[in-house]
Amino acid sequence: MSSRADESAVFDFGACAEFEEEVQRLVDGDDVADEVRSHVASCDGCRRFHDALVATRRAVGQALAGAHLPELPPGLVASAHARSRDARRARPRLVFIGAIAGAVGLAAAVLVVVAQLSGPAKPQPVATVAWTMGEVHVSGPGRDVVLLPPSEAKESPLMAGDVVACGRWSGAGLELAGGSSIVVDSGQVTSGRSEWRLESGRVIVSHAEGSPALSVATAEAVVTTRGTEFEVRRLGKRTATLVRAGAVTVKSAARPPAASRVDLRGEGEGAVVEAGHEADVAGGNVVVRRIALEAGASSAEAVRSGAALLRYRLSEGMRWRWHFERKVRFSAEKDDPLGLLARIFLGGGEEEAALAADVAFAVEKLSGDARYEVLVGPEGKGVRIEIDARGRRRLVASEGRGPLSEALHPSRSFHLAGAEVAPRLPAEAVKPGDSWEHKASGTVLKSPGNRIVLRLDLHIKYRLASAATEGAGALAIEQEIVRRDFEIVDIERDRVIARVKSTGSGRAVFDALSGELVRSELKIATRFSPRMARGGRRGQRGPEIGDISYTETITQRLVERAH
Amino acid sequence: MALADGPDGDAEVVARALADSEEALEEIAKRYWPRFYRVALGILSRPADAEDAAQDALIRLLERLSGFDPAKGAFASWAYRLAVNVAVDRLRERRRGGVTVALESVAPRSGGEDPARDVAEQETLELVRAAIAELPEQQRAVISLRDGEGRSTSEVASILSSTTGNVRAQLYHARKKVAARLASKGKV
Repeated sequence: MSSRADESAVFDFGACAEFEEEVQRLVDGDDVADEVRSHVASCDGCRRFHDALVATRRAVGQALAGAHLPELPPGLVASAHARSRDARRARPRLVFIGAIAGAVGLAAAVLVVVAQLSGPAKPQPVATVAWTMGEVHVSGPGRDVVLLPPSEAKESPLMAGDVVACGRWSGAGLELAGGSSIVVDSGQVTSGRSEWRLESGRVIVSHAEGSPALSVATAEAVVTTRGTEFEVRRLGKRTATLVRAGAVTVKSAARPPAASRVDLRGEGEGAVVEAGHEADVAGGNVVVRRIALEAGASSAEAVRSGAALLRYRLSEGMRWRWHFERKVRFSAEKDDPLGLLARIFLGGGEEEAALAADVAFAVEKLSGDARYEVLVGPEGKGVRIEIDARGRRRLVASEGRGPLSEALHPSRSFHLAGAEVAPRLPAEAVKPGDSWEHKASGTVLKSPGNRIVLRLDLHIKYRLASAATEGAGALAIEQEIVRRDFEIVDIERDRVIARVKSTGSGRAVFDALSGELVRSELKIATRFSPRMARGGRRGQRGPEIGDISYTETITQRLVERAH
Repeated sequence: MALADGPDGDAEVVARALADSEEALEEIAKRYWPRFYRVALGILSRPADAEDAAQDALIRLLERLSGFDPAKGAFASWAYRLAVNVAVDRLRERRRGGVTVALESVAPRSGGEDPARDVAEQETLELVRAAIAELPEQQRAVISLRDGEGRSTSEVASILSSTTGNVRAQLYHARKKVAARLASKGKV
C-alpha cells in the first residue's frame, strides 16, 4: 500500500469521531438530528471536515465531468443494431426448436436412426471459416443471414450453397478439405463441393497438391485449378484471373475461348494460364497476358483489394523491414539557439543532416478479439502499437530513440488518439487520373511529468498516376501534402509551445499483388514556429526566437518481408 | 410491456429501441456515452482504458437491450451496472498484468474553450484523479457514481447490488481519503 493511500490516516481534520459519519449525511442532504447540525456549527474540527467533504464532492464531480470526452465512435450504433437484430432473428427459431424438442424428441431419435440406416448421408460441410474481418455475413438454403464477427467466426461450418458476403474492407478466410484455402475479399461467393461461384469482389485460392480439383465460376468464366495459387476477381462484366503459382485452366462461360493476344496456349476447351500471367474474360473472349500492367482498372483494383487484405490478414510472426533515409536542409541561422536545437533534434549536423536506418515492423501478438500489437523499430526496440478489432490504433509504448519519444517523456509511454492517419486507396481509384483526399486529426497525449500534447491536423491529396511495369506489377500514386500541421502544447499551462506546419509532395509505389507499399519518396517543406517565451503568456513569443524553415526528403523502401 | 419512466426519462426511448428503431439506439448511445466514459474514467483513471471500457459497455448495452427487465429496476441502474462491471473487469485484467503502460494524464478540455484556466484549479483536478486512482475498486465505483454522476445513494446501491448502508460506508471512506489528499496539499 502506498503512503499516499494512508494520508487519510495521517491527516487529521480534528473532527469528532462519533460525528464523522453524520457529517457525511449532512453533506448529502440526508435527514440528520438537529443535534448534529448544531454540533457542526459549533465545532471547528467537524465544520472543517464538513467543508472538506463538500469541496471534495464538488472536486470529484469537476474532475470527472471536466475530462475531455472522446467522440462516440462512428458506426458503433449501426453495428450493434445489426448484431442485435441478427440475434433476435435467430432467437425465435431457437425458442421454437426448444419448445418442440421435448415433444418430438423420441420421434426425432427414431428418424435419425432410420436416416442413418436407409437415408442419404448427413451433408458434410464443404469448408470451415478460419477467420473473418469487418462485416461478413453468411446465409444459405434454410438458414438466415448471420453476421460472423471475428470472435465467433472461427470454425463455423459452410455447407454447399451457403453464401459468404463480405462488405467493403472486409474479408474471410475459408479452409477446405485437403488443405486448400480460399480468401474472400470484399465480395460475395457461393460455396460448393468442387465449384465455387464468385458474384462480386475477389477470391484468392490456394489449392493444395493432391486435393480434389477446385474451380471458381463467374458469369463470364470458369477457372479450374491445376495445382496452383491464383486469384479471381469480378470487375463489372469482366473476370480477371491472376496466377501466382502453378497454372489454371480458364474458359469462357459463354463459349470456348476465341482469341488471345499473348501467351495463350489452348488445351481442351480452356486456355492454360501459368504463373505470372493474367487471364481476362469478357464478352466470351479470353485474353491472356503477362502481368506487365498496361495501366487501368484491373491493376488499381488489385492494389486496392490487396491493401484491404493486408490490413486484415495479419498473423503472428509477420515481419517487414524497411530502409528509411531522411535528408534535412535548414535555413536557420547558425547562431540561432533554437535553430541549433532543431538541428540536434532533427538529426545533428550544421546546415544539412542525413539519417539512414533500417526499421522493422513485426506483428507480435494476436488475441481472440482481433486486438494485436505490432512493434515498429529496429531489433526488439521501438514503438509498440495496439490495434483493436475496430481498427483503432494506439501507441502503447515507445522504447526507441526517435525524436518523438525522446521529446515526450522519459518514461517513453504515450497514447495516440484520434483518427488513423494511414492512407487508404478508395474504391473510386480505379484508373490513372483518379484522385482522392485523406484528412485526419489526432492527439498524442503523454503521461504526467512534462504534460505535453501533440495535436495533429493532416490533409493529403492523392492521385493515381500510373501503373508501372516492374516485377509482377506495380502502381504509382502521387501524393500532395496539402497540410501536415502539428501543435506542441503544454497542457498544464494550456499554452502552445510551437507550431510545425508542413507541405510537400511525393510518389509512392505499391505492389499490385499484395497491395503493399514498396517504396516512396516525399519532399516536405516545414516551418517550425516557437511560441514559447520566458515567463510569457500563451500565444506570446520570445523576441529572441525566430521561425525555422527546413526542407527534407524522406525515402523508404521495402527491404525484406517474411510472412 | 409498458416501461415505467424513471428520473432519467429513458422509458420512451428504450421502448422505441426495443421496437427496433436505430434512431432510438442512437439516442441512447448519445445519452449514455458520456456517462459510461466518466464512470469508467473514475474506476480506471486512464483515458484510453476508459474509452475502451465505455465503448465495450455501450456495445453490450445496445446489443443486450432486449434483456433489460423493467421489473428489476430502472433502465439507468441496469445500464450503469453494466458499465461498472466492464470497467471493474478491465481494472482487474490490468492488475493481472494485462496492460503495462504508464499512468497517463487526463487531457483537460482545451483548444481555446477556456484559455485562462487556472493552473491551481487544474492541479486540484489532477490531484483528485490521482487520489481516486488510489482507492479500492468498490470505493472508486461508489464515489464515481455518487459524486461524479450525482446518482443518489439508493441508486448507487441498486447499481452495485449493495445496500444503502454499505454504499454510505464506502463513500465515507472514499471521500475521507480524497479529502485528506487534497487537504495535505492545501487544496481544501
